[in-house]
Amino acid sequence: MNQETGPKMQAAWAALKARGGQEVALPTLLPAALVLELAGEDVRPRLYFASGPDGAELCLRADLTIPAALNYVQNATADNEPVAWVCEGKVFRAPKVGEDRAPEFVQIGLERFGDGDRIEADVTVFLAAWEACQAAGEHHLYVRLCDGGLLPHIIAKADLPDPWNSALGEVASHQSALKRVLAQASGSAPSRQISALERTIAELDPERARSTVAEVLTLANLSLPGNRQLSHVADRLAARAKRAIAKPLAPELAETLTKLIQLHSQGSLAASLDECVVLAGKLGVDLMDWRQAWTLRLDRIQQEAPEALAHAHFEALSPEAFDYYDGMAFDFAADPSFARPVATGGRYDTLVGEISSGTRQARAVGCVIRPARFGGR
Amino acid sequence: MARLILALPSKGRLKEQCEAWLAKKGLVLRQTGGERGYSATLDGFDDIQIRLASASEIGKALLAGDIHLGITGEDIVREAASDVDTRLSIEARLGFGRADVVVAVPNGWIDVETMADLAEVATDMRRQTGRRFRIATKFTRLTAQFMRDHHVADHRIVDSAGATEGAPAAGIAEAIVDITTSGATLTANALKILDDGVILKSESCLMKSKLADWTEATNATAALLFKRLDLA
Repeated sequence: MNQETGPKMQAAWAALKARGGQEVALPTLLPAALVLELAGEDVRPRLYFASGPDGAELCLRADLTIPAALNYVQNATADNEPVAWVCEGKVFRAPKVGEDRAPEFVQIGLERFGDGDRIEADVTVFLAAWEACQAAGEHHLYVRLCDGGLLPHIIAKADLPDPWNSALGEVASHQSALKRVLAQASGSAPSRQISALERTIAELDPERARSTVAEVLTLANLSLPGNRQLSHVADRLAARAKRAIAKPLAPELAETLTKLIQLHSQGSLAASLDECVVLAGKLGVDLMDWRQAWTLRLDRIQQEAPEALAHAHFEALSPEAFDYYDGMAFDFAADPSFARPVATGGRYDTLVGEISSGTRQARAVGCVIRPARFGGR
Repeated sequence: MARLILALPSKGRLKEQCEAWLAKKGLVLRQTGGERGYSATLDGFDDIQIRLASASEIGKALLAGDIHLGITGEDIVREAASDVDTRLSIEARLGFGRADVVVAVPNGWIDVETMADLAEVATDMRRQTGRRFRIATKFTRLTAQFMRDHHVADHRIVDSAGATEGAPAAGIAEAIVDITTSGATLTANALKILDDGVILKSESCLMKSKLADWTEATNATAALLFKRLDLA
């Protein structure tokens, strides 16, 4: 246990451990390519890189979640083998230009893998993070709850006309891409001019479209080196052309989707969740099971830590910083802007599969706390 | 730093172009220690210490404030730091050493013309393969910023030490960011530049470090030099 961060951190650490979990030491040095593959290039300016003697490019860990998931992949003997780990240690993030912040700081966290009961595991992790903050004297925190799986679920099940159903479905988990495609779908983005070739391709069946594209490439002496195949080019050319000539989404459908994306209620949590149900209903999607799951989560939190919900709000779409959270997600902050959260957490059921290239699967949920931010710092 | 330090490219075409530019302004550069020496004098400016260095070393020294003035490529300093404009100022664009830093993709990608197309392809690729779209480049900082500005989320930068234009054919990356003057190398490698894929139109510039030790004497020397160079 790192003593240098003082009694507040020790109190938080004790509270976190009280929720159960084996204490583990996680790797500090990680393969850089893996971290960039999982977390994306946005983290590159924050990473510290190192070279191994064999020339391997490594980086210092910038969070505890990726090393925990990597540790699970390397040690679990079966898919969804249940483990709960508490971990503590420094993470390393280069400050942005002009940012007055230490490049290394301690995080403490709880990571759970393979829990059969997702809802109970979500609640346990939420309460662990909350109790750790309370133990450290953080009594005035705002809570943001989100659901990274909601929009992909709604769009996959919604009665949306072709081609917008597939176009929106492909980007449903990306906030900025979803907004971009929705702007096209609703006709608010300028539609692009399409060539005669694109118009032709859009009207052909996929096989014929592919052979036409192959012919064009041969005639024009154009090459397709690398991993992107002819079928990708032809299919996307057709999809893009179909979007350009398609009728816009009916205004009420576009408006409903926009309201869902922007749903950010400071009012009652129940009202926000009910609003999601109503909006999804307008798209032909029944969210009653989803609503029931959230009711169970919130009831359990209410039973054990009612004050956690006093300043809580719900957003339908996870902020992009929560890239790998694909279910319930949360953060706690002293400031309602949530610019400097003291704790973040959420469900990341696909991460183990991504790290292991699909050879290992595990449900997962976790949280981290940043003691250096206690006291509104 | 009692004397004003001016760093100039030490070899190659850039060195010749710098000498020609100075000569056009009536200034003669005399290399000391022969052709391979790394110091020189500038006729009429005894209080200027001339250092000959590589373009990248000059960029680093300007950004660190180790020299007062230097001539190097804008691409070099923009790649080396994100807060370039707080560390140095561009005093003159010299009209040589022109090169664009561009985003290029295989010319057979007839469905990709813009950065918005690239963003969609990157998202498609990650969804279909579980892997991010790879961009080979040595300009990692400029590329990361440009991709952020164009909302290209699902990509990964692959550091390329050389022969970047061959990366798509070698299967190392799907697209590249590289420097080009005429575009001939890209064309020869069956690549095309995206319509809005010019990250930076670079050229050689005379730059002034804001972090250098500027004294009354070095300021006065710089003012005289700028006057001779018609920059005052």
